[in-house]
Amino acid sequence: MTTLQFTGTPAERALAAQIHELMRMQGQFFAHDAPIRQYISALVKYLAPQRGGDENQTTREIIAALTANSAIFAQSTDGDDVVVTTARNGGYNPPQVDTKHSLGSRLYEPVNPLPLDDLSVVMTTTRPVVPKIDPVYVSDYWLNGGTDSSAGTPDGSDESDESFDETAAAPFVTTAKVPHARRDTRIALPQGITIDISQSMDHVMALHGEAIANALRNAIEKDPMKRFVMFGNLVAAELDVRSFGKNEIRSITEYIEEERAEPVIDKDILDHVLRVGVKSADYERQRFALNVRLLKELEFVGVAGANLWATRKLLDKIGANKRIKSADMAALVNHLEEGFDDSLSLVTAETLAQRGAVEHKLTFFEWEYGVLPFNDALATILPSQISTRQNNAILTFEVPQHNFSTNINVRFPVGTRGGWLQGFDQLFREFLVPGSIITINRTAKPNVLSISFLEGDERYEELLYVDDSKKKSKFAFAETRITTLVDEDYLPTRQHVGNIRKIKFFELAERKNIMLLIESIFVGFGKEVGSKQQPIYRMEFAPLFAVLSMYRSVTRSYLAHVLAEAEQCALVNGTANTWECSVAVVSNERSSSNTDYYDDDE
Amino acid sequence: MDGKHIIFGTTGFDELLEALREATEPQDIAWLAERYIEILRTLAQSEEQE
Repeated sequence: MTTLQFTGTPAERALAAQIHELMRMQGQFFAHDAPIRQYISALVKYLAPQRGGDENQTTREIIAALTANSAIFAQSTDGDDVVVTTARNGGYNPPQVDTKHSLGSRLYEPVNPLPLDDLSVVMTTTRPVVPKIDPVYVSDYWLNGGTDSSAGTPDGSDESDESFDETAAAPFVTTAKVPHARRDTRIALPQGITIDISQSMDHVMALHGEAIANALRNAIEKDPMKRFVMFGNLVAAELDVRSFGKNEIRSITEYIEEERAEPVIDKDILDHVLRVGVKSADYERQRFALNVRLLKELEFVGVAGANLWATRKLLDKIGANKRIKSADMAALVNHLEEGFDDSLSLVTAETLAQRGAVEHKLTFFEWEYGVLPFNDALATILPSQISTRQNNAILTFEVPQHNFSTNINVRFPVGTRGGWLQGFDQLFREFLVPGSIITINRTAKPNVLSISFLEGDERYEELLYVDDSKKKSKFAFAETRITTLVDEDYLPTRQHVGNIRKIKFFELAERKNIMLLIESIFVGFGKEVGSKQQPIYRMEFAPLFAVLSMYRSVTRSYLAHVLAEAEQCALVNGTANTWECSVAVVSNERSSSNTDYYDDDE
Repeated sequence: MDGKHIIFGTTGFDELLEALREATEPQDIAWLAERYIEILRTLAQSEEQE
């Protein structure tokens, strides 16, 4: 430790040294530069007895010694007393706190900040709004059909306000009335479409009518206060639509289930149950109210123009087919919604709509399971659903030449899920055979269609059918009466499709794996051209398509797509329609069952 | 009201409900869409003139 040099008179130096020694002892465990504080009164009390007992004199001497050594002793007042501060190594120097820099400020205030004109570019003090789709601003140029009527810039912004040139604008300053800043009259629809509502109504509706109606429909459905009610395309205020009591709903249910035992049109319910006649002044309002309120009570199975109602119990019976599961069936028709619907390849939708009739060749699959695919051709004559959310409807199909009618369950396509019609079992079995050429016609009633076909000479053929009599289904042949005109190529005779019995019977759920079916058909019907180690089968496209359409719904374009995509299949060189497929040994059944795949004697 | 502040499906819905009730009968969605655009246009223009 360095020796301190005290100043002043010899007496003052001696006293200062004694005081420092005393204070050093007091703070012997302090840090060398930590402050050691003591009251002068305490020093006086300790030193006065040693210096003659005069406290006043001792006080004066102490103050003189401390003042002479102010570099070592700091003095500060505390009430009436004086506090002496020193440190073990000499004078106490209060630490200087560096307030120029701190970690927090260094992060936000860089030493050399980049120039920033607008703080809002990098930060905002406002909470961001709920994320929504950015509206697509369409230039006025395009909205006006190629002529720019916008007074501002092409994008419609008021840029001119900011880059105002006084000299250029001088002539306009003289006008008495300064126009109000131009407001943006464009609104954004939730889909992201921007509409300028300052334009004429005809123009707006012609360009965006459908989008506005759809957006409004969604907004009404999502209205948190449920102020509107909607049925189909009709809308009314919730407050203006009457409700129906429990007794009325029960009467309606009983009427549908017990009296009619079929879907009932709203007009009949009004007339027979609620006793509201067509001539009633508020008939349309009553009809609307009935349809709106029944949405929560019953199943709507109508179509545009025919509001039909059924109960769940009744609906389960219509078109019911225990052999068909919706998920399985949807998988067999999904290709129609995936761009492989070629039902309009020979005739346009307009022609079919104009004719109001569609011709169709019944496949074995359709005949066996009583279904028809909901393809584009059929869609041209079928009535549309009342909203895109409606999944199914009940239509009546009549066979006028046999005075027959049946209710058919229509499963509308939804998104990428294909649609189909089911419930034709009885109609097909009674009057038609696979290969029959039928014509489906629209009628005057939107929910009624008719099926007609050309009758032929009665004959009997052994035709294929699915034998479900045992636990495991299988293909079988039975003598069948044919009374209609048929496409002989589609007729599943033993001669045509006898080989199908060499192939395993695939349950409906298995048939969604189209490659499995194709491989099996190649093995069962194709010509073997490979070796035993590498079995390859060759087959023409037409018979392959004919056999495949016995298993499931398929279109030519879909089959062609699948074959082209399959690694194990290839078009035979120099041919347009002959395909070769190499089949894995596991699924090559031909070697193990050279004759009949089934172990029965049929 | 500036178009940017118009929220489709919220702004002017009370006025739309009024218009619908005045019509007394249920109305087609296309009719309602036209009335709604008219209402929004009125809202935008009325404040524009202030």
